[in-house]
Amino acid sequence: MQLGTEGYSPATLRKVLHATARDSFQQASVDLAALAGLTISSSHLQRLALRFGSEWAAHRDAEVQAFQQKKLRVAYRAAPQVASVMLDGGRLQTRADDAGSGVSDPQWREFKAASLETLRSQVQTADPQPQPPGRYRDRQQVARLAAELKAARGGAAAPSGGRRRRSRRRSRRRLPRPRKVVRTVVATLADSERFGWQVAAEVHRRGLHKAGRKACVCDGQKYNWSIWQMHLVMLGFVPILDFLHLLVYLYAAAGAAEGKGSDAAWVLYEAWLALAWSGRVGALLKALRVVGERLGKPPAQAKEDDPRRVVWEAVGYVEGNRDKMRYPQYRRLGLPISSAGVESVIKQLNRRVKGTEKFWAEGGAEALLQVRAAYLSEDGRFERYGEMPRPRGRAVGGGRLGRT
Amino acid sequence: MNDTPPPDRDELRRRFLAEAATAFDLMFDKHLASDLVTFDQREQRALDLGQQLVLALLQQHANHDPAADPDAQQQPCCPRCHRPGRRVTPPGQPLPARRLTTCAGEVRLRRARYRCTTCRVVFFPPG
Repeated sequence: MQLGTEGYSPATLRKVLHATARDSFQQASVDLAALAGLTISSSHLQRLALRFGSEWAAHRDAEVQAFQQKKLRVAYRAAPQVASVMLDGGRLQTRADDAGSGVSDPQWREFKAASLETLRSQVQTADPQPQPPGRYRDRQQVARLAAELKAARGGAAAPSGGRRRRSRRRSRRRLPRPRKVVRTVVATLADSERFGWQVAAEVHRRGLHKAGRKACVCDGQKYNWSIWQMHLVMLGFVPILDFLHLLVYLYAAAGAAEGKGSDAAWVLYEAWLALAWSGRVGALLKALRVVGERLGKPPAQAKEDDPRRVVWEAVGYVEGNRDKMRYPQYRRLGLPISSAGVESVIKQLNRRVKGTEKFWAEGGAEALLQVRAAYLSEDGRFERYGEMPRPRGRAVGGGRLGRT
Repeated sequence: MNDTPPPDRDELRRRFLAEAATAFDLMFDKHLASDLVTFDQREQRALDLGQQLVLALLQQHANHDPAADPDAQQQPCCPRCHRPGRRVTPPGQPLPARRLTTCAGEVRLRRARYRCTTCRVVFFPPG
């Protein structure tokens, strides 16, 4: 009957995992009682979620091993039209594993996440959007975007408020942008090498390497491009520097050069934005360097917000990624130019694993990331994992094997 | 083997229909009609009665499974080492029940119990 030793039917366990993937164990316990009539304590839910998460992590590792041995099967027959792999990192707090109850040795740890998407888009003969979209030319929106991305990098909560509602008319207008079909998520606390193999195995399992057009979209983080170089470049994935991160660098540099929030800074930002959007990287670099030379080189001990440092960081960012900034060509090919997909995934993972009161043991964090990643994946991973044979574990809860 | 033969399909059907009839009577009982005024009260009663029927159906079907009480020739294998286990439930004794929480409530699965002397685990037949 494919029953585990937990004392719950498979359908009940699916509900349990769904609830624990969505919210804290305490809230899941309340939700299950109210919505499904299931009375399960929060600590018991935690044991169940971590047990399943650990099993799924082991299954993922087995898939990676099979992939390394060239034995992993492609799970989809039809090749997708367009595929994208987006990589990024988030942060959560850990505590010492063997220190008993309470929080000992709290630390921030980075987890890595990938959003693997199949997309639908058309190849165009000319750039379908030669001008930057309105939201990148809206002072309020750009300031909010810059603050959000900066907060995401620093581990702080993103600022809220100030979001302007789109007008109905505008939201109805469909620009020829790539549209997501199916997304799956890979998330782990492992190092970038192991993460790279996990992403490569998922790309293979989903047959994304067979797509007609494919892209790898990331910010300038070095390990992202190492993963692309090791696993994706030979599969034909086009490297694309995330436009949102570039925009934030340009906005910060313009503010540093002309005064944050000033009209002159906005004019300078708009000029740089136009150059970046049209893929004129040489001209952009030249313009940035002119400003950099005017301010001078930053001293070694310059503060993080020193204008000279901010501008030269932007120069370095553009210089280091200039071969991944052919945006008109990417738009013509119907490829995504922003990593908004993985930014959204990070936000959704954070919502479950990050919080001022959440401190995870390493194994627990890895297990819960698997449960949350399965919840965020749109390929029926919950059901697929549910059908797999499971290792026999100890019974969870007392008296479940008792005689009556 | 259990001495009391498992009820046959017709007997199970008769029992289930009797329970369904009881549920129907409880829903339409004139004396209990005063408790079923609002839609919420009616919905709650119907759900409770339906849930009891779901549990009865599920429990009967699972316990009626021949694999629940294999005969002496069949020796279920240990889920860890896959060697044949030794029967713990003595012949003639009622089968021990295992509590299982389902979406409809708790059911009691009756299964013969086996032991693996190598792995030192007690297990139930997989069927």
